[in-house]
Amino acid sequence: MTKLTYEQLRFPNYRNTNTAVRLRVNVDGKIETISLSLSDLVYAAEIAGLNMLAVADTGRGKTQLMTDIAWHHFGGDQESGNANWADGRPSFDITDLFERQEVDLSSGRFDSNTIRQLRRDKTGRCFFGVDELNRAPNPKQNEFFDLADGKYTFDGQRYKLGRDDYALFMSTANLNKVNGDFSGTFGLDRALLNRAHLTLDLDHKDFRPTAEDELAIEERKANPRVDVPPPQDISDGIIEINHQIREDSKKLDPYLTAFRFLIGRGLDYCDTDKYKDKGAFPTLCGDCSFSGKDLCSLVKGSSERTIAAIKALAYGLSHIAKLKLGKEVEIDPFDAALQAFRFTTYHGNLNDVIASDEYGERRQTMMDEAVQELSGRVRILEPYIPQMLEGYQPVSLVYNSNGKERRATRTDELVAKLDKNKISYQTTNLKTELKEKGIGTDWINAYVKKFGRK
Amino acid sequence: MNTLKPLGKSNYVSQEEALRDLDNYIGNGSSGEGSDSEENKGDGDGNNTTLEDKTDFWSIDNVRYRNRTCSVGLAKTLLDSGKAKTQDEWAEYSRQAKQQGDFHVGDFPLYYALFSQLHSLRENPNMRSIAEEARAFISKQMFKKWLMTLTRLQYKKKGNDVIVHNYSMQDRYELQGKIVGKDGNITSADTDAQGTLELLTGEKDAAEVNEVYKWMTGKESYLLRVNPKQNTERIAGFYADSDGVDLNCVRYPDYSYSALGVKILCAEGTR
Repeated sequence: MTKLTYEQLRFPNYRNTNTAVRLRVNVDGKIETISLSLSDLVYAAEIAGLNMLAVADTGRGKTQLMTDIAWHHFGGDQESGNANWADGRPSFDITDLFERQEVDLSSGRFDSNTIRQLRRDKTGRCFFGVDELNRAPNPKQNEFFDLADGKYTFDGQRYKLGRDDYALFMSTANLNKVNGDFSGTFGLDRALLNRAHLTLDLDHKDFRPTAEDELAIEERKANPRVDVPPPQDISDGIIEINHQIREDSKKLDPYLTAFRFLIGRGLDYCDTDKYKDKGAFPTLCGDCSFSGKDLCSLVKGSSERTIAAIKALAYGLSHIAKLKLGKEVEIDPFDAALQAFRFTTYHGNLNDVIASDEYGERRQTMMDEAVQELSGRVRILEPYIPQMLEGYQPVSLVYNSNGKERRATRTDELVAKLDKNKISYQTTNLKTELKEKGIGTDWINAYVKKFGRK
Repeated sequence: MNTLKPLGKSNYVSQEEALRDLDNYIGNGSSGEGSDSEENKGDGDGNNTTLEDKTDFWSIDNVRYRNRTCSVGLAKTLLDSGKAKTQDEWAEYSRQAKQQGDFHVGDFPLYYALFSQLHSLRENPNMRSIAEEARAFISKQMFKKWLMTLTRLQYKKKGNDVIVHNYSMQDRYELQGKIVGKDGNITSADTDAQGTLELLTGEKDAAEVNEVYKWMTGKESYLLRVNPKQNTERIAGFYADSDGVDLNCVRYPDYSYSALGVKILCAEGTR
């Protein structure tokens, strides 16, 4: 059993009990639905080691959230702490964070090779937070790439940031998505956005604190400034679970692998395109008359980076559910992956035209609706998995026998028996069904070959 | 421990199991799925229909649903002891129940088809009393509860609206057309309900639909839907009060309601 407890994770000041994620879980043999709050989602991202970007208009609690993580989970930014903190400003220089100059006056020599020193006490910290990232101009934002990638290059040598292969990067950004009325801010670099494994849109109505939360905060707080809690360092416990998640993520899970193909190669497919790929996305989607465009016109395929993040967050959510309930739980891999997809798919994967015209830039709302559609595709795929795991192509016969619905692989022998018994049946084909819904299927043969036991 | 594990029970059977199962299959009425035998065929007027009062459900033959003739069971109690659930939760419940051969939530057309068939048996001397028992039960529930279906409506700002029947189930199917429009009595020309009713119930004759629900509750039917055109998603359900029967297409998916339990006992012509 891990040392980390849910009570240790619970934020002392940031309060947001709004339900961000609902998951079906099997607890003690009983299937029920549990609600995880936005705070729980953040805990899951932390133990999964996933970078986060919190975006919102002012006053949504972004800085308080990051402060609680830095001080309550990683011991703060002081000498003994395990967190680094930076503010996005034009004057920001990453060398201020990780380098220092040391002059040995007694030697009487000046050697440029030795005068610059890497601050290993800083690079070895686990948490790297940048507040108001978009108040740094774009060239300065490039300096944060290293933080997001968990590395720092010094004197021609690349050093890993963090400890025991764990380094967490988090940033906040002030965004008024519609009016863009923050002076002194800069656009967010697209490549940096893509390095934020999770995008937390704290303006989204489901992710804002509830009215009860706001009352509790108002009662507690004497002033509007950010509260800095007493330092607590639980990084050992976080890293321990992170290692378990990394081990689990390395294994090929047939359900998560099917999901990754669905959101990767599947969503890179365009049924009406001459080359059957999404090269024209999103320019031609508006006028497309394809009947299954409900999903494919909203979002394009996810990158490898996103797919890995989904897998890690799916496991992260299951661990947090376990910590919260205080007992072993089982979570459906498709459910966990669908929830993870809502946050981990870079919002730039969405159709910009539709995001602007139909959603007023409320991208999380659009993402949630895309996930609803994706869920329908998952429900198409799900019943075929057992037969693919047996090594069969996903073509099924669906029929009723003795009052129970049955599904079996279509074979001539089975068809003959059904005909003989005058039992009606339907033939279903996964490839046909998915294509009708705008999902590519060029991965299915490889999938059957890899996982099939036949 | 790997904490990610499929929770849904699969109805998949291996090839060996499927063949063995069919070797032992007895093609009679109790298990006769899809049988072509004449005794299962009806002419729709109730002459060959049977309506049976089983211990905990009514069994109604010759229900016309999705261009098939089905035998449908209607549970004598609300599902899950009358608990209220969201449509998503009922869909999950129903997926599992269906795999076990248990009662589950139906889509709007299935409930309507069932009510319509009961209505057609109301004068049948051999089945009149059972039909009345079933009617009284349904009517009582309609006056007490807003009753959930597995029909979901996707209103679209542009183009056709989409109506999803058997939402989130394996036999989910979609129809497209105009759902958006005025609220009003379904028989009123001003309501222009015909197209929506066909998408919702499978029956385009508004007078016929009104007649069925009126027999059930003594009330006229009223159609509630979203207006004007917009992108929004709603659920479909029905209930009755002193003003009439509401065929309701405007409730939000996160609302929780109770549901009547149904199951298709056997069907023909699915192939």
